[in-house]
Amino acid sequence: MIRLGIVRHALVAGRLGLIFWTLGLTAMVVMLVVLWPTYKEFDLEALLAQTPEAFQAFFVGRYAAIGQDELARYAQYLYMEWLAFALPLAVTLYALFACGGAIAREADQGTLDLLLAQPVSRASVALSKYVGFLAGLGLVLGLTAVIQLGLERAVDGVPALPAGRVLGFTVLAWLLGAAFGGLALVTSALWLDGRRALGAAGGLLFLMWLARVAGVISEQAEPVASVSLFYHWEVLELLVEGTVPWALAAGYGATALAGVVVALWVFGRRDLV
Amino acid sequence: MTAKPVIMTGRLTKRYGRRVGVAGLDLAVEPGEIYGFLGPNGAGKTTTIRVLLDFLRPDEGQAWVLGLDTRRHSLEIRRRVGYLAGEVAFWPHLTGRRTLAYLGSLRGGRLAGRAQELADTLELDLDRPIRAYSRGMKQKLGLVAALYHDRELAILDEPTLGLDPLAQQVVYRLLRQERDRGRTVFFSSHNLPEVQRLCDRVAILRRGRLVAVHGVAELAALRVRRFEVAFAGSAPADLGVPGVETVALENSRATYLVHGDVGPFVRALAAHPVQDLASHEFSLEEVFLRYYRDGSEQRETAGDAA
Repeated sequence: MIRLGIVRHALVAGRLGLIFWTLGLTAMVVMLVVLWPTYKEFDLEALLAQTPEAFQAFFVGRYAAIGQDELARYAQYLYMEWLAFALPLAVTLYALFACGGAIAREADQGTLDLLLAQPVSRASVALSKYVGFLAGLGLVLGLTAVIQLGLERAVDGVPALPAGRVLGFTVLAWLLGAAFGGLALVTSALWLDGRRALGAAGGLLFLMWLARVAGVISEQAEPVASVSLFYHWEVLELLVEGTVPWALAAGYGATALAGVVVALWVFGRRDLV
Repeated sequence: MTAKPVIMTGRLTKRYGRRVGVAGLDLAVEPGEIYGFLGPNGAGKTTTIRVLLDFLRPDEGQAWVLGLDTRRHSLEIRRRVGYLAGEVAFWPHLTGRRTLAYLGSLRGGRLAGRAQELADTLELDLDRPIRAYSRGMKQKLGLVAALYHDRELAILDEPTLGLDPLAQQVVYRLLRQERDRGRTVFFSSHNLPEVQRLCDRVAILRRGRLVAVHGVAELAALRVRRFEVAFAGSAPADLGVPGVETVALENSRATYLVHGDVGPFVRALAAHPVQDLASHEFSLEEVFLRYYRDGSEQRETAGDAA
């Protein structure tokens, strides 16, 4: 079902994107870790207390770790500056471009015919491309995590998060990417036109963020906001106490699976005009 | 012929909304023949080919390739068929060789020596990146990709599109070699002289409908050429040759339409003092207008066809 040739080709074709995302994410992590020794002098609790409640809810989440030991404060800092917004945005943008264009880009450049003229099923093509995306995202996030772990242990004055916790939020970020990638794959299969597919997936991404913000600002918006993948993105407790949010992981996994199944179903039944 | 047809369609119909791609198409391509699929742009040639490869699903009717239903056994069909798309495209970052290796890997094999042999025959450099390829070079690579594995059937959508006349001759030779090796070649074209030169049989398609299926002899008779002749004296009104029409006559100049073989016409002209001669091949559309004014008219001259 999964063709390694297509997986490898997807990785090679997207190598520039992989390098770009890896450099971007690692630069961000390096900056955050290196800046912590100067940042930790700030009274985060007081700083947050001055901000609107919605802002606090967005960047702190339901679990407040402020006021605890240095590791917890460092975790809070990482969460605010990196994990609450920047990392999920980066991961979903990567998924948007990789999966939204996965099938549609081949159709745009006319190579989908060439691929499907080989003894390869449509499901194999779509699934292999998705696996290529998962491998690429795993590579980007894995390298970023390794660099973070290394730096935390190398730079003086920076508490080292346990490797299991870093691995935990890395896997969760990967699952978030997988979930959104699955949805973007559906748009790719539906439209077979790069601009439309990316536009639709981009619109979905925007709406999900909007729903997340709306859910934070207003309790009445929570039922709508709860549909958003980002609404459930809460990993601070994992960072501070090592509590694994299994429900979140399962939800993302199920969304990814559902997205892929729908994408295969759509792609398998449509005409390739 | 007793062998099962390599390609068969039964009342095949495909619509795009209100527009008809193909309607009620019945085809039968026998093993070991070069079968031309002739028609002007928009006639339904590419639609038919895409149905055969299961890229499009028919609204009505059925299609079989190598005895297999195109819907249920498309993987097996594609394993045994080489295909050249009408609009050939490749991954620009790969070289020709890497492209063939990639496609070969999806067939579970390595790049065969036959690929290099074909590339040499077509004078194609496989080590250049495809972004540096011209239209003709991409077409040649498409042909190599369609033919380099030993497949029972080659389905080629406009195989000589974008090729110079010398390269076209090489392609004709390659396709004849394929037939001589017992392979079947099914190709679409809108070029009547090309299919006349190459094919054992030709199906003519117009506006999604099969108009006729011709054998070689009938095909030769289909060919129409216009000759504009300048004579030293007054032009003869009638050359007295069957199949030659005088369509214009003005003092020393005459225009003739010659149907089929031009030999008798040339011999008749030799009896007159000819000063100048220009010939013009009828386009496919002109031939259609001449032979098949009514789109619903169907001629069946091949006897055993479709």
